[in-house]
Amino acid sequence: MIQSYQEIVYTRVRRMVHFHEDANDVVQNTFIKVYRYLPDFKGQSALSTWIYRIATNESINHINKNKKRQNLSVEAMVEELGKELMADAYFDGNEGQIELIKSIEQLPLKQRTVFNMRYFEEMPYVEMSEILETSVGSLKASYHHAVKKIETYLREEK
Amino acid sequence: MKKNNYQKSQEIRDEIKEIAPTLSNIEKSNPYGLPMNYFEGLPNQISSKLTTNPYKVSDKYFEQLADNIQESIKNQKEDSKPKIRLLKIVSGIAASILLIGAMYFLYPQEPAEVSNGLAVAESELFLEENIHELDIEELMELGLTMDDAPLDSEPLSKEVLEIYLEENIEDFNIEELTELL
Repeated sequence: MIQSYQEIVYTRVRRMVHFHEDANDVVQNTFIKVYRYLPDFKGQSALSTWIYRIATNESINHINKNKKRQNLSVEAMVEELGKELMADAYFDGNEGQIELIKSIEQLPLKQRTVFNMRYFEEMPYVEMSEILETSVGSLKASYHHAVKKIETYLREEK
Repeated sequence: MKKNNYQKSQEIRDEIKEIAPTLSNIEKSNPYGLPMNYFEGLPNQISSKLTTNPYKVSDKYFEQLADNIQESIKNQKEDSKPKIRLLKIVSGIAASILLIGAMYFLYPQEPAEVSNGLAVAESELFLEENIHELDIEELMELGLTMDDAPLDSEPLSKEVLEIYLEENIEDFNIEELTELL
């Protein structure tokens, strides 16, 4: 089972936490929880949806626990992230991609999650709704707000 | 008709182009890299976490455990020694105070006694009444001095000395005087 889902889970988690070490921790915790709670899984949703829900929650928990940059303002935190990514051996993005990541990072966590699912993974709202247990209408609104904020940020940084 | 993946993807891109043209110009490829063969080792890493005890101890912890326990016991004994000593001192002082207090209440204070069994007050009274029996020369030999006596006067008569003694009886050592009687 791990082999079937590890790459998709890792990619999704990595977009949320950015760094390999963090993603590795989150992915491992995700699969440990999957195994522990598998007997309780009643098949009310697809297994992939259930696993992705756990991975999303683990990513959010990890971000909330990570106090490394929490004393900084949003602007300073985003700048710090950009510098760290440029110095990261496992990051190969260009300047535009760094700016995009920075613009996503300044969003509230819920909007960030919705934007990543829709923009990068092109996930249908219905599936997103099952994973995040939120209505489709609310998700559409979140995505729309997120895109607008990102566009504004990118225009200002240009 | 159900949309295929390409159509869905195109729809999302079109939406972005319309509301966020700057964003749509940014390359969408995945910029994140990862260590070589990472996914090959991941299932084993997770399996080992699932099967092994999650609680870790330092290297050689169990080898050193017996010595550490003995060391702790030894330290505890040494630490407790000064406390016991202090406790003994405090207990001793408390017991002494208690004993003195008990004696004070059980045995009411009696007049101080001189060596021959007479109370000081009784001795003073006795001396006043029998002062004329004292041998003045013996008193002088005992080293009693009469600071108030005029230095340039003639030798004092026995009567004068007796009067002096009567007036200054309190300054004399009662025990020594009673021994002379």
